[in-house]
Amino acid sequence: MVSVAHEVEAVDETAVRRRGGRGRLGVWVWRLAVPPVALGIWQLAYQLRLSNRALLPSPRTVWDATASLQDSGVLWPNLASTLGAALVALALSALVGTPFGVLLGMLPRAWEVLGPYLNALNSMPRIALAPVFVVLLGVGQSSKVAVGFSVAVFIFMMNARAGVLGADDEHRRVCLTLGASKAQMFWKLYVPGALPAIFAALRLGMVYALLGVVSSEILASQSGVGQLIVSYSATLSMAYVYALLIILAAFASALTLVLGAVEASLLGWQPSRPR
Amino acid sequence: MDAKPAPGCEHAVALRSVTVDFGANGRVPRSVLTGLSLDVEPGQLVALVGASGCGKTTLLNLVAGLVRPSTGEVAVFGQPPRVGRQDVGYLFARDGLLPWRTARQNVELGLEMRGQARHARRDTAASLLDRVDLSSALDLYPAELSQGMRQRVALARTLATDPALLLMDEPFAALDAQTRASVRSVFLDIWDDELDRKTVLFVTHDLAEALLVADRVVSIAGGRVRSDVPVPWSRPRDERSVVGQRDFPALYDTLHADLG
Repeated sequence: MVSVAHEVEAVDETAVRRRGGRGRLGVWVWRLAVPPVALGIWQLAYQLRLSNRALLPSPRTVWDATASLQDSGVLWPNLASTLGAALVALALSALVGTPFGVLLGMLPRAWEVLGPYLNALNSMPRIALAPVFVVLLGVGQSSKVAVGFSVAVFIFMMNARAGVLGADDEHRRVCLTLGASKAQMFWKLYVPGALPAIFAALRLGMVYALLGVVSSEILASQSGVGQLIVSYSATLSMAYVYALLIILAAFASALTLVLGAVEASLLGWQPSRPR
Repeated sequence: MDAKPAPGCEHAVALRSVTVDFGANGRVPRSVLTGLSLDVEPGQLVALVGASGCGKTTLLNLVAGLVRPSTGEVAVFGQPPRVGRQDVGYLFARDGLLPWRTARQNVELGLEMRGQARHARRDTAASLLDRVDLSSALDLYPAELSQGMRQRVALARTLATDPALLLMDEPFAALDAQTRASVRSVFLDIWDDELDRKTVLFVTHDLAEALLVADRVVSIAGGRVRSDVPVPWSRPRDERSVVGQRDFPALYDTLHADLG
């Protein structure tokens, strides 16, 4: 017969959180190798005249355009205006969309009623509303923020709701039998449980907020990268357009990296996750 | 015989002719329990045994207030059951630990729901984790713990709110044999030690486990109580001494026949 003894329980090695390691370094080496390769292909395409040189200027021309944007003092105010609007839109979307989405997940009846309308709203091309926002809020930052918000808020709502619906039944039962109130279910179960989905929404939401803001600037605005793109496109100064797009992309990826770091510190409890 | 007191007056748990039908949405209702009656005295550890699907878990859910009886009456300490009652704790087969909380924070969960102050919560959690031999794992996340450790954290979480009635649904069934024996003995030690022992409803499909832990083994078949057998042996018990009892084979065989 088995004697009742305390089993020796080794902490499962594979379940221990993995932090960094040699593999990460290799990834960064490869990552840093991508831009030079892309530049090489670009230069080659330019040399071989694969495209009209007005549409595809050389990397050098784009680099010069970047420098001249910087020197003329045009770049920073406009970039700040665009990124600022996008970040405000992102923050507002998260603050409004997340709790609303969590509630929709907790109240299936409310979703049954509102779901079709929210889906319909979400499928509307909100860029078309930009003129309305401009008339309502003026040509300043507010109308850009409004367009970005109108696009990104749904991402938070849908993701937060999905996060709640994905909550483990066992967890729900445990919280209920421990006497959780509705508010406690919200704060102690659904919100932390939906956190991974909310972070996914942040990454995606940033892309969409930026898209909304830049589109809105292209349609009507006084400042912003979108506005610059319009004026440079009008004179077919594509080098400037590409320079602006590359700078925007660089800032967006920097923000994504910051988000990733915040996520890693907040969601350290997850056994392992793709980066 | 005297006039019967109101159901559940002196009982920890009282079920009177309880029927539970499942199957809404126009389908033919399926009766899980059919006129089941059962009384449990305070401080008793009652094992509920039966084939899977016989309604053992439904019975616990009924007492926990997670399921309502279709007919009949249920009383827990004289009151109708309600989900999240302060005097009832529920331990499931799966640990259900929240993965974003450390072991200690998981144990604190029920105390948080009750609005207990932070330092008191932390002390209670630490001492309970010590009782289940996990004082070294206070700040580890569930993903860093083995199955057996996780279930001991779940046990500590359930005990943290000090419920007078403990519902245990196959609490150790998800563990391998050796871990099961160890976690079970941790539980029995804690339960044995208490001055004011908790009332326990312990669901298991393992007859030997039932005879090891319980004061009384109730077998359920066909939606009602098939047999109700007192276990005569003294405590503390362990697996070896219980199996060595002269009347163990007879008891085991009787129960086995009841379930067949």
